Amino acid sequence: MSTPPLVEAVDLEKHFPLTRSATDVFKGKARRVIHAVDGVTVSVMPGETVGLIGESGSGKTTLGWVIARLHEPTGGTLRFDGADVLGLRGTALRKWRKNVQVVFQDPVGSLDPRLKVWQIVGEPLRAQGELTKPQVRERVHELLPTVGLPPDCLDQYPHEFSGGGRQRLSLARALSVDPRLVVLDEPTSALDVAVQAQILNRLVELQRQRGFAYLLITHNVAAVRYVADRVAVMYLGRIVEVGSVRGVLEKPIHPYTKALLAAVPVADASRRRTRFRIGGDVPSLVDPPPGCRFAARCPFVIDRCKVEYPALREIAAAPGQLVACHRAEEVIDIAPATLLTTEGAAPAAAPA
Amino acid sequence: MTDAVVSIEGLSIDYVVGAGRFRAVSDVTLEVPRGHVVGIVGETGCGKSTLAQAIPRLLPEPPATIGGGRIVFEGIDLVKVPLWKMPQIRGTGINMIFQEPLNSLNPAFRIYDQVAEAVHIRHVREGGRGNVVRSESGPFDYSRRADPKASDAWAGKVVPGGGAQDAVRRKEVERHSGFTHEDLRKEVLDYLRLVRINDPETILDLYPHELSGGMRQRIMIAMALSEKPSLLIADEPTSALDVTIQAQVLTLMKELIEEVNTSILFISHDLGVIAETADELGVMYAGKLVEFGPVAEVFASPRHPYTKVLLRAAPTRYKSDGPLLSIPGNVPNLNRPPPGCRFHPRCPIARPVCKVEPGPPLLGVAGASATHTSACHFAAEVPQIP
Amino acid sequence: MATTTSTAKATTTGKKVGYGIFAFWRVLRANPLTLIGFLIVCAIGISALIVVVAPHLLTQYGPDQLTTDYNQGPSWSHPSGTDGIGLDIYSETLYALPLDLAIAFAIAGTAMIAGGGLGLVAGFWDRPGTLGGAISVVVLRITDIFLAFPSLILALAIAVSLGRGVWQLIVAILLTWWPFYVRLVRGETLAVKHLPYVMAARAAGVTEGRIVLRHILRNVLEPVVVYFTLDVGTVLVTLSTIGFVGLGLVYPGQAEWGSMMSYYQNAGLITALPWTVLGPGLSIFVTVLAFSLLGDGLRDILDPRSRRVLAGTGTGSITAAAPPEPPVPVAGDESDLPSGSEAPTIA
Repeated sequence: MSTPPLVEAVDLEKHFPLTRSATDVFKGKARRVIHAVDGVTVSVMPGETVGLIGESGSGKTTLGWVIARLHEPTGGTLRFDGADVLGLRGTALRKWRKNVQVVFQDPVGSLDPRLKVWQIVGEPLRAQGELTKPQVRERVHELLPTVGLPPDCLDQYPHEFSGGGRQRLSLARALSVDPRLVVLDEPTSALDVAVQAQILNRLVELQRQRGFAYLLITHNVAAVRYVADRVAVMYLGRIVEVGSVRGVLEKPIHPYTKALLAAVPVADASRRRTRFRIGGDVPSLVDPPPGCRFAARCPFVIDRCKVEYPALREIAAAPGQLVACHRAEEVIDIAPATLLTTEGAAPAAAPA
Repeated sequence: MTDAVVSIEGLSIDYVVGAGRFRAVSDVTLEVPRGHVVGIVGETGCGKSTLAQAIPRLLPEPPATIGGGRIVFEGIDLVKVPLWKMPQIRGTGINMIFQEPLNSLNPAFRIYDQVAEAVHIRHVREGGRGNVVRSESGPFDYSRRADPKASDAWAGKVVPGGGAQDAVRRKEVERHSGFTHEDLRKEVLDYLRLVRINDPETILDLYPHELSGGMRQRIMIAMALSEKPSLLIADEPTSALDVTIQAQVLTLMKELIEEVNTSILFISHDLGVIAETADELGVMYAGKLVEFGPVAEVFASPRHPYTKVLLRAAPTRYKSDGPLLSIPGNVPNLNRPPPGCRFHPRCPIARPVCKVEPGPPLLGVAGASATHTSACHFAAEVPQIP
Repeated sequence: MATTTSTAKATTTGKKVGYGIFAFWRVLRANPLTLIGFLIVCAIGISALIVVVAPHLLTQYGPDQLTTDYNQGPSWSHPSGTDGIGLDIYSETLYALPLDLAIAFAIAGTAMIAGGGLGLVAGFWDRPGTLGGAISVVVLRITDIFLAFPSLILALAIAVSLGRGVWQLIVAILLTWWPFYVRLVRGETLAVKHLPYVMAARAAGVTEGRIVLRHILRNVLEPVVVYFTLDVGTVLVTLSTIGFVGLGLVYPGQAEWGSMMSYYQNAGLITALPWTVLGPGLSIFVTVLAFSLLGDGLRDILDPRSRRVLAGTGTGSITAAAPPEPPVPVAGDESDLPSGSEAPTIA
């Protein structure tokens, strides 16, 4: 690998402290912490798309925000183009921000309802301070068609656009400063199926033209399959599997990845008979269990899983793919479909 | 023609907003056969949620008005029933579960109180002490509906009651419904076990915010089923849940559908979810029902262009070669719908007649089963769309 | 000296006329009560201005001009009658108008700016463990202390100790008034500061100060302006009460509605000559009512989303009348087009 990665995060940690009650302080109890991101090592090469999939509580959104320096990590290192960025402060940080932009999940909340389109989309440009107002308007005017919006809606307000239109505005805002990396935080989850397809097409096309990298954070596996080159699966603050999209999605090794792929509803009427057999809920982020965090729900669990945390490693049968599972070699050939039984077997446990 | 638990005939729903009036649902005719699960699918703005909420007359009636048509439930035309009488039909006649369980459960009450309230209502009506809406065929007979049969693995054990859980006061319960307090508690526990909650005694004292989303949704389902409704309307019940939790709740619903004697109207925007649960499927677009038929058949060979392109755009059908197939254009503004067929600006097989004539009301399609209907002039040509 | 009353006009300017005066007028027309409030407020404002500049247009008597008509009921030359010493009640009421308005606006305005500013700071920079957090805690506790007192009693106590006079009156009420704005603005700031668009601004590299001024302030301003408008009425009642109790300005001398009422009360005129309340009492009533009506409708005027609904040019989705699935703008091709003045919606 001669080119350095665009973004390189090593052992990144983001813990959110919980406030203690007065009695806890009195008793001298340690402050409890939400382990949102708990030791993540991931890298993004220039121009590639890395998908980050997981459910709520997996820490994927927090990881994306930490990479964009919207949160300060509580541990680990983060390098951009080979240089450390955690030390940046003040003006240097603000200047750096044009390299990494974010498109947020909520199409309604991510645009200031009191500002006009040109002010919203042009805000990063104005914050970088290099252009005058008429120049910003001009830039925005050129930018809007590239995301599929009419160029003369500069003076409209966000509420006049539909959800898909608003996501395009967010995208235009992110692209206005020519970033090297765009973090897309669930860009399609609030949209209809047809609009999702339009936005995804647009994303792919823009990347082909402009060459920036994407970090696509989503629970929509199909979107990742379409857009991404590599994918990382997160569970409870850690990456449990990472590799090429083809590898991970067609031959998932980690039991959680299998469960995730099996759980997606498919528009196929024969699925009437299937029963999803993974029970339980995501355990607490505050006191994660020792050992593998998926152990409580894993159908392949053995005693070792509950005690010892498996490291991310490569196995011989699947080169280029990293997985954090003790039994990786044994479960690699078990297809996700086996997690959907068709007979009326004993229902899975649903603990309170 | 099978016995239908609810039959919607030519229903139209209008909204009066500010200076305008627009028609959110136009002339929908639909039947839910007894014991079946009917799915309604459509994108945002198609009117499916409006339709779902209109059936038990839950829409706020000043801005919304029923612009025409009938909703015939067990022989009673719900459009003609005055709003103040509707609570007598809701709950035990028609019940509903919603998308966001945190909003649908009262955060100020414990789980026991919420489920017990539902059971209590049913007890009151079964005991003959509640007000009932009368239809031409006589009042609602609650006793004739079969009990849900929980599978053997879940034979419940009764734990003697007591403690903080009994906020529903004993004497009042017995006086109102004729059932004892112990009966109430036993039923609450039974229904919680029915939705596959282990050790339901442990959660009776908890508040909704102390439970996860999946658990809350199960409790909602338990509350809804405990009233033994003839019709259960599920308005996007799994859309707010995570993928694996959604799969768990869908599995639960699939099992309950087999065990419980309730007809279900299932609303969703997700074709996969409908495929997994429904017997029949209705597709809505811009306030109109454009296709209806058995699920397997509609998926395998849709007879309306909108259904066809919608299926094509579904995420599970994404292929990596070339751009994703989406539907060009946008959902029309219901203030000024396109003349003629509402889908014609985006339709791959639109003809000049489509701009002028609105699509036919649902017509049977040649070469398909008897209940498969489509609102397209050229239904026969749809299979040829690539 | 008298300030104009309508703040609504200033906030609706935009590049296109569509969002400017005409839309404003259409919204007013759609809301008859607000229109009445607005017109009365305008009339009051204009009258105040005229009284200051050219009082002879509205009345033939000068300030505190004694006539020889004592204790006369309402007549053509004395629309509200006269009092025991020959002052024309209508003229006196008129001369009191600009003073009352000015005091009320001064109090409410200063409370809004000072209290609002503190609330903004306390709301935005409130992370515990930082300097901002400490300041925020101190500000809030002081606010709580002030709020614990019944405001009228506290104002009266301060007025007693400070003595009578215009500035003393303003200070007395102001000291009890600013905490409400702190709480209001802080609450709104807290609600807004976690919204994604603030995060997006940060990601764009906008400095914290600019974020506060540009994003937070604008979105917080609207409820504050509404509250301010309603508040002017409340302040007016409070200051009239202080005047009525006898702690306000001295009348005859400085004309002020509250002190006029106090004078009539002490002279036993209210029961003997009932028309004496027509002047000041009626004025207070009408003024407060007008501001209340205007304030209620102001929120709808200021919100760009509601403006369209009320003006009837679109089907909005903000008001309680919103349908659950709002319609989406028309487009002919792949992109999402907002269709000019027809479009409203939220996804």
